[in-house]
Parts: sequence; structure tokens; C-alpha cells
Amino acid sequence: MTTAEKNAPGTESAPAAEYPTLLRMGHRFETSFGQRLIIDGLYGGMDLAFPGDGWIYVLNRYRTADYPLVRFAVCNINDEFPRNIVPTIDGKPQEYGNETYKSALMCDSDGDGTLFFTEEHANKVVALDTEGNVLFDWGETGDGPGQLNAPAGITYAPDGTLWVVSTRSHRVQNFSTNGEYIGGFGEFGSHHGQLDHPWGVAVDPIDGSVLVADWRNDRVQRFSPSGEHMMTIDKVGQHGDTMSRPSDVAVDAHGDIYVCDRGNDRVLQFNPRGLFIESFVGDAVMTERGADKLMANQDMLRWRDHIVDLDREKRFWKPTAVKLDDEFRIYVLDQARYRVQVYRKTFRVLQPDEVEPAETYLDPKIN
Amino acid sequence: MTTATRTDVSLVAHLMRRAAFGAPAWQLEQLAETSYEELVENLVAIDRHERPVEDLFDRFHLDFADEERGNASGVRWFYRMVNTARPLEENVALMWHNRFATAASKVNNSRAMAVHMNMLRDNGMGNYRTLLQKLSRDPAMIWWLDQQTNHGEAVNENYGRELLELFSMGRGNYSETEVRSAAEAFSGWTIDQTIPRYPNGWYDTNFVYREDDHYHADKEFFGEKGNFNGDDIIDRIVTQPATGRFVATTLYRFFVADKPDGEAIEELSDVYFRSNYEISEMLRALFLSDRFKNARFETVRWPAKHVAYLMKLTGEHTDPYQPGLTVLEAKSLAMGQQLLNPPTVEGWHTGREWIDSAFLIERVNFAADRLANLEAPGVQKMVERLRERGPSLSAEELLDAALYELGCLEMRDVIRDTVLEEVGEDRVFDTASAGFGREATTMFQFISSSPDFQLA
Repeated sequence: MTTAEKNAPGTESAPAAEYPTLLRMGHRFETSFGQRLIIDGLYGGMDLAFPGDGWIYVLNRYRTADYPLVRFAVCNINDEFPRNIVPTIDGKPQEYGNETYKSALMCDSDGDGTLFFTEEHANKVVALDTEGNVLFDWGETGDGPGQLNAPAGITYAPDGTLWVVSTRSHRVQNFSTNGEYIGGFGEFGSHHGQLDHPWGVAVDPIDGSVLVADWRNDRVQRFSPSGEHMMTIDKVGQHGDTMSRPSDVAVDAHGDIYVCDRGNDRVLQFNPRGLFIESFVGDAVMTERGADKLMANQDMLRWRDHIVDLDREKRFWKPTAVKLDDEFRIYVLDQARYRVQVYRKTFRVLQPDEVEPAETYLDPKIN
Repeated sequence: MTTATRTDVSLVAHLMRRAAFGAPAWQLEQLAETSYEELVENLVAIDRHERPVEDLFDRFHLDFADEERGNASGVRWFYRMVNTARPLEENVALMWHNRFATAASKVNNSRAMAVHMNMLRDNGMGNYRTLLQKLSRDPAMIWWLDQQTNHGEAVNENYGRELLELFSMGRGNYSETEVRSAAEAFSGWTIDQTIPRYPNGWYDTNFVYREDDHYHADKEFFGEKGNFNGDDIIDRIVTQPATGRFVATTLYRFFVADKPDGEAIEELSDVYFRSNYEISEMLRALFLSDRFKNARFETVRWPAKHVAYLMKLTGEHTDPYQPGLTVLEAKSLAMGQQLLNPPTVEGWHTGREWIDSAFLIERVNFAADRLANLEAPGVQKMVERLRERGPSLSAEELLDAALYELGCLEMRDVIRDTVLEEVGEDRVFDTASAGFGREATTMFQFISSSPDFQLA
């Protein structure tokens, strides 16, 4: 690939609609929750999932000695953290220093009480219920079809299957929830359609295409489920700004794409054709529990009074995972700040009779 | 023997033990195809080589993403030691880390310690004046020596004193007048904020100069009078003969021998002044000197270097995905050297003091454990090369060959006799046998358990 090719703008996979179907009005910052706490907060947060019980399950990988523990913090957007769950096998929670699962990385849920997470060193996918009981795990180490080598992103697709990224084999693979290999694609490289240490993955709910955070190629790519390359997103805005080591991707019901541009400490929104819409850099507000913590630590309280630039506290620091709910909320796991920041998309869905006839509409290519 | 185009393997081994982190024989043989002068140049001219790319380290060590954990920088440093193409850069940073000993135990901020480590790495082989300027602006150092409490109206002498005593000239080469003046000159050199971490993590801290907190009256420094600021003091420090000797002694002790040689120090000091305080020029002269070439196995290997050396032998941790890098940091701690956390402002007690009974057990156990790992690629390679020496090896042949494979090592006769007695002097080893791998690694373990293996 030439530099020019590599630097070409995002290739669009589909023509624009004949008339605008969606009026994007922007996003409101809704809230942030979580703080640096091992018990009722986040520490080593990696990803989050919604198993359908009204709670948010944030996956934490807290390194205790040489290997980390795996903990889901059960919480909500009101900063309530009533409990944690840890993988429990035959009624026995895994123990400090003697863990079966040590390197959980990303997670998702079927929305019906089952959580799935990837184990990047054990090369497993683990399923557990919302009490932490391990239902089963599966995964064979290797670089071949159906095998896993440092599994990372995992997403539960609308058709009831799982897509799993195998980072070190540079592949994305489709499995049934109990581990039967269905298909997959990917090879190492930097050309369109090739991957270099991919991380997050999402399925477009509209057409079933698969979007991959192509981490070391600094881009996101869209593939058909059978692996045909459909689109590359590697540019941001009009001035050729680029992504830096994107870690995760999500797609909403309108087909809009959200990318954790982790290396640039921001989240990006693109329309379904890969055109840049908006970026988010973080707007967090300290929680009441965070304030309580400072009040309980008067040294910290005094030091804080001398902070030169509190603006940094609002901003993302290594946003690592992005998830969406059914109400167009965008949840960003703000990893190095031990919290989740939540935005909400505002929009109007346009009907044909609300839009003037096509002949008066601008050439969409001007966009 | 050294010619214009080839270098004796044992001399290459010596250079790599001291200026790098050691190497197995098969790598030394490749390096020996080059002249000694070119080998030195390859080490000193660091710009010839790229630094290791660390994005994959970051990717597979997400536990350190918040940069908070105390061992984060130490673990990263071990990754660099094992994988860098600029090993001298890391060695020099380690040397200055001991000289300018700044510890996480007081700074209590991993991010500031990481900035400190990178400052030493970025400037360690450059100009000494620049290094002192950067050091004086380093947030971790400022916190370490209470420089943030050095106010124009209430001078704190801590940094001014240590700058003269521990960082540039040494006791006996200045008076209390210089200490006072240096402290006054650095008043107002502070950081913009301390760094509370609750509830949402770190904030960077930066050097700031507060003019309104500076002592603006005239100071006297080595006979000169003026309204000196910190950089004016550094400008005068670096010109002092004692500073040249101090820097030369620091380099000599780290790279050549624990006991400085007066004549060698004067020669190196001369290079310091002729090069206008360039550390890399001093290093070049040092490595090319006969004193360096002849000073083999005269120092005790530092714990961090011991750990890195074993990884160079076993070929482990070249892939950042491999778990266990944190173990390296923990083992170095158990051997008496926790990176980024020296015990006092004077740094570690080096030389023979690295070897007390507890530390020695850790050194031996770690080495014996790693060198017995037949799954490690480097161990496999060494065993394979031993097999290639012939269908059978006597105990003495196996001992000599193993010493060579471990980096062209030497062993005193009294130790050799003990090892051979343990192995069985009359034993003959069938190199084609299935058990030879274990027999070879057992020999590695005997060697690594010896006092001589601790020397560099």
C-alpha cells in the first residue's frame, strides 16, 4: 500500500440516502460514576456490560501480586455500587493468589442474565451468571480458525452469536455462545482488510456487519460477516487528524459508530458511512461519594485547593471501552480515572414528508 | 586478541557485561566479527539505534494503565533493559539513578517517578550541565529534597547542599558559603501542585519558577558575587575541577571498578573538560582505555543487572505478552535493589555489599531457576550448542563449554574443583541422550550458584 492509499479518507461502504433520515442534534453529558476504590468502586476497569437486570457490570482487573483478580463491580449511573461478583466455580469464588481466571479483558452480555468475558492469557471465553457462577468456559489456544491467541474484544450479536477478537492472530471470529466455531476472518498487515493487533469489536444492528478496532493500524474497519472488507475509518474531521490506537467500537440503532480513540484520550462519533460527526473528550463531575472521600482525607482536600488546572479532572484518560444502551446513552469506561462517563444522544428521526424533494437537496458528496 | 576487524570474544563479553546487560556466547561471537572500536561506537552513539517501541508493552500491561502502581516504572525499566538496542543508555540511567538517588518511598507518586526515570534516560549520556539543569527542575527530585519548601524568605538548604555534596563535587570541595548561596539561588524553584490521587487519579505536576518566592539579593559563590539564580550556580559548578573528578569517579565506579584509580580519574576528568562536559565522550574514552579492558570480573553485578543478564541468557521477555515481568522487579527487590526506590539519598551500597546471605540466596535461586528452564528459548539454544560440540563431553569439557555459553565466564580453580567434584570428575556426558538437556542445565545451575557468577 502506498502512503497515499494508506492516508486516503475513509472509504464509504454505502451511498448516502436520498434524503436525510436522521437529524443529529448532538450529545448531552449525562453523568459520571465510579471512583478509585477496590470494594465499592473501580480499579483496573476494562469493560462493562448490561445483563438485563437494570444494573451495569463493570469488569475490573486488579493486579494483586503477579496475576490479577477478576471482579465485576455491580453499579448504576447514580454511583451506587451495592455489590461485586467474582468468578465462582462450583460454589467457590476464585481465591486471591490462586485464581483460575487472571487476565480478563473485555466483556459483553446477552442481556438476559449471562455475562461473557475474554481471558487474554488463558485464551478462553468465560460465561457466568449475575451472581458470578461460572456457567462454562471454552477456547483452544492457537492461531488457526476457531482458536484463540490473546482474545480481547467480545460482542454479543443480534443473531445470538459471539464475535471474539483474537489479538495475536490478528483475527475476528464468530462462535456460538457455547464455543462452536462458525466463521472468521483476518490476517496480519496494514492494507485495507488486514489487521494488526485488533482489540474491540461490534456488530452493526442494522446490517450485521462487523466493526473492528484495528488497534495497531490506528483505524476502524468494517467487514461483512463473511470477512469482506467494506470500509476503513482512519481520518477524523476535515484536517486529516488521525486516530491513535483505538481500543473499542460500538454501533447504535441508527448505525452511528462510536470509537474509543484511546491514544488521543477521546471518543469519536462517525455516521454509518464513516464520516466524522463529533468527538467527546470527557465532561465528568466529581460524584458525591468522591467528595465524601476528600472530606474524609483533609490532606487531599487542602492539596486539591492548590490544583492549577482542574479541567483535566473532567477529561478522559485512556478511554478504553464504549457501550451503548437502548436509550441512546453512550457509556465510556474512563480507565485511568476509575469511572464511567455517560453521554446521551439527542436526535430527530425524519420522515419523508418532513424533508423537501430530492432535487433541491445538496449533493451528498459535498458532505 | 583484538585486530582492526575482529575482537576477542572474551573482551566483547567484558564490554557487554559492563556497558550492556551481558549476552550469551552465540551473540558475543556475532559481535566479535566487529572491531572493538566499532563495538564501543555502537554502544556510545545511541542515535544509531531506535529505542524499543513500547505500545505493545502498554497493551499487554493494562494493569499499569493508571500509572499509579509503585512497581510500574520498575517493570517497564526491566522491559527496556531486556529489549533495548541502546543498552548503554539504560545503564547510564541506572548509574545516575543511584547517584541522584530519588525514591518512590518519599515521592509516593509513580507518575512523577516515571518522569524522573525518563529524564535520566533522556539526558544521562548528554551534557552534564544540561543534566543538572533538568535534575533541578525534576518534580520528583524537588519533592524528594523538599525544594518546594525553599522560599526566598525562609531558605531550605537541603537541595543546595546535596547538589554540591552528592550530585556534583563531593564533600570538602566547597564551603558553607556555597551551600547557602546555592540554596538561596534555587529558592522559588518548585512545582505547580502536589498530586492528590483520590478519587479519580493523578494530575501531572510540573516545575515552576516563582519569581516572587526567590531570594533576589546578591550571593557569593566561589568568590564571585551576584544575584545568582539556579542556572547560574550550575554554570559555575560544572567548571570546578572537583566536579570533573566527581563525574569521572561516578563513571569509573559504575563501569570499571569499585575502587577508583587516581590516574584514571584525572584522565577521565580531563575528557570531561575538553569535551565541555559531554558524558558520551567520557564513556567513549573510558571503554577504549586499557584500564577498562583489563578490569574483568572485578565488580559485583548489580541486582537489576543480574536479573536483566539472566533474561538476556534465557531469551525471555522479548515478547511483552509474556506474563511475569513484575516478577523481575520483585526479584530485584529481593536481591536488594528495588528500582525507583533506593534506600537513602546516598543510593545503594554497591560492591561487596550487594552480597549478604539473604541477597545471595535470592540471586542464586533466581539464576538457578531460570537457567533450568528448558522451555526458555535461550536455554534451548545454549543446550543445542553444547550438543554440537560432539557426541560426548567430559565433566571438565562440559564445565568449560557451559561457562563459555553463559557469556564467556571465568571461574577460579578452587571453585572449578568443587563443581567438578559435585558433578563427578570422571563422568562423561552423552550429548545425544534425552537427558542431556537436564544435565546441561544442572551444570548451568552449578555455575550460577558459584561466587564467581556474581561478578561482572
